[in-house]
Amino acid sequence: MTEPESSGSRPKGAYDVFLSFRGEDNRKTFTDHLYTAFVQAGIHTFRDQNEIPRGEEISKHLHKAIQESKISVVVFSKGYASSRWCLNELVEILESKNRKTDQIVLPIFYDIDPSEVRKQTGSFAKAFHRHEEAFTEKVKEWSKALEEAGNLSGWNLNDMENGYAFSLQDSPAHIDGVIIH
Amino acid sequence: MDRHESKFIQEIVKDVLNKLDPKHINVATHLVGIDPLVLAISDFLSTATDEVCIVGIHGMPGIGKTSIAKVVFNQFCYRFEGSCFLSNINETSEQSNGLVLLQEQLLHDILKQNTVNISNVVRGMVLIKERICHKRVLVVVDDVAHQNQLNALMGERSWFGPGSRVIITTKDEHLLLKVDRTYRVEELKRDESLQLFSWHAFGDTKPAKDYVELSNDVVDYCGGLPLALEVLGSCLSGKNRARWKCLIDKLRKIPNREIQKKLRISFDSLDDHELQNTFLDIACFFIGRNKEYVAKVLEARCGYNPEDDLGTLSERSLIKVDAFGKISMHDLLRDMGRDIIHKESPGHPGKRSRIWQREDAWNVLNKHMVITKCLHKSKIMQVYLYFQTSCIHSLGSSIEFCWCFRERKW
Repeated sequence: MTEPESSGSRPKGAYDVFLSFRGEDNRKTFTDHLYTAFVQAGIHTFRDQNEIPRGEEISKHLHKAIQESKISVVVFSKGYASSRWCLNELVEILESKNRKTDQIVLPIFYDIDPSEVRKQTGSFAKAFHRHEEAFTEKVKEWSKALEEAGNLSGWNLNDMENGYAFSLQDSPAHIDGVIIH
Repeated sequence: MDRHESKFIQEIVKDVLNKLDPKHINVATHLVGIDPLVLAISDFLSTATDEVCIVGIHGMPGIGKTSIAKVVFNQFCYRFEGSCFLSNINETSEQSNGLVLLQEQLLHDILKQNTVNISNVVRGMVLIKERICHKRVLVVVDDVAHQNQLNALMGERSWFGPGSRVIITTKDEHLLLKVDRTYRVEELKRDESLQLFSWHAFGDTKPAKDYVELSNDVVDYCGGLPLALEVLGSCLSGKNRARWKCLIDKLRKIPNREIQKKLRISFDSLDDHELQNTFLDIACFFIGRNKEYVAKVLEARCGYNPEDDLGTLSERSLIKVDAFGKISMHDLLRDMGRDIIHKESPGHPGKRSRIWQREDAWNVLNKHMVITKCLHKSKIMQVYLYFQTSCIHSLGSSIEFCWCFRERKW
C-alpha cells in the first residue's frame, strides 16, 4: 500500500522552489544571483548542480525534487530551447503542475520575449529547427510545453527595463476545457 | 549585475515569498473526476474583464461542490489583491451572530488586519461595501442555503472592486438566479468512483486483488456520490473479506449514518411540511414515474397543484426530471427518505405513514381483513392507498378509486 501524498503536509526535505535554467547561458550570473537571493530570503531552493553529461531521461532524484516543490521557477533565456535537457525538464515540470492543483510555475523571461517562447520564434526557432531533424517525436511535446509556459503569468526583464514592474497574463490563452452547464 | 537586474531579482523574490505564503486552503488528498468542471470554471473566471464575475456551483449533498470550489480557489487566490474562502456558511449562520462573524472574516481575510467589531449585519454590509469596493478580490461563499446569507455577504456586485470573482456553492439552484454561470456537479462515472473508493479503502487507484468484486458492490451502492465513496472506503479500509461482506449486507438494510446525516440536511431544509411529504412520497412510490402522473396523484393528496413543489425539489437536486418527464432520485437519497419513514415505527409497518414493500402491505392489510373497516384509522388507510398507486396491477384497482377514498377526509 502506498501512503497517499497530501497537499497539506509536504514531505520532509521538500523544496519551496525548483529552479530550472540553461546552465551554459547564465549559471554564473543571473541564476546565481537569483539563487542567492532566494536562499537569503529563507526560500528552500533546489538548483540542479550536476553539469556532468547525463542521459536524456530525468533522474528519479530530479523528478522527486520537481514534484515536491511548491513553485517551479523557469528561467527562459536565449539558449534555453537548444538544450534538450531543459526542454525535457520543462515538460516534467508542467506535467507535475497539471497533476497537482496547488503547484505553481513561474516563468522568468530573461532577455527574451515571452512570444518567442510561446511561438518558438527567434533564437528558439533555430534551436527547434535543429531538434526537428533528430527528435521529431519529442518536438511536438516540447513545443506544447513552451506554449503553455509562455502563457503563464511571470516576470519579464524587458518590462522591468521599460519601467513596468510586473508582467501579468492572467490566464493561459487556451484551455482545452469543456463548458459544462 | 546592473540596477534593473537587481531590482528584477528583488521583485521575483517578493513574488515568490508572496506565493509561498499559504493563502490556499487545504483540499482533500484525492480528488477524482473534478477536472473538467474545474477547467470550465477556471476558464470562465480567467476571462479578462473588469466586470465582477459570479459563478454558482450546485448539486446534491456530498457530490463535491466544496472540493471544486477549493481547487479553483487555490488556483486563483494568488492572482488577486485579496481572497477569502467562507466555508460552511449555512452552518455558521445558525450560530448566534453567525452572519456577523462571517462578515468579519471576509473583511479580515481581505484587508489582512483586524477591523472594528461589527455591531450588526446591516452595519457589516455597509462596511464590506465601503472597504472592499476598490479591491480586486476572490471570494468563495460556500454552502449558502438562504437568500439572506447572500445579501449579508455579497449584496450587490458593486461591493467588490473591478475584476473581482465570486464563487457560490449551494444545494439550491434557485439561489443562483443572478449569477453569470451555473455549473451542476454530476455523479462520478463508474471508473472514477472505483478509483476514489480505492484511494480510501486501499490507498491505491485500484482495489486489492481479492477485493475487486466486493469493491464493485460498494461502488454500485454509492451511485457515484463522492461522499459515500469516501465514507465507505475509509470505513472498510483494513478489514478482512468477511467483515466487508457483513458491512455490505448491512448497508442494504440500514443506511450508513454518516452519509445519511449529510444527505438529510437537504431534506430538513425543505421549507414546509408539504414539500417534505412530497419528497417522501416520491422516495417511496414514484421513482421512475412520469411527472404528470405524479403531479396528478399528489394533487389529490395535498389539494393543490404540486408543480412548484416538484420544481423546488429539482432545484435542490433532490429529484431529477429527465427530458421525457420521468422522475428519478439518487438511490442514497431514496434510502434516506425511506429510512425516515422506517424510523416512524421500526417494528410496526402498520404504524408508518407509508408502505412501499409488497409484503409489508399485505401483512398490514391481512391484519385488518376488510379494508373498509379500517377507513377510520387514518394512517393505515393512507398506507393502502399509496400502495395501490404504486402496485396497481397486483391489486387490480384504479387510481381514481383510491383517491376517492382520500376525499373522505379522515
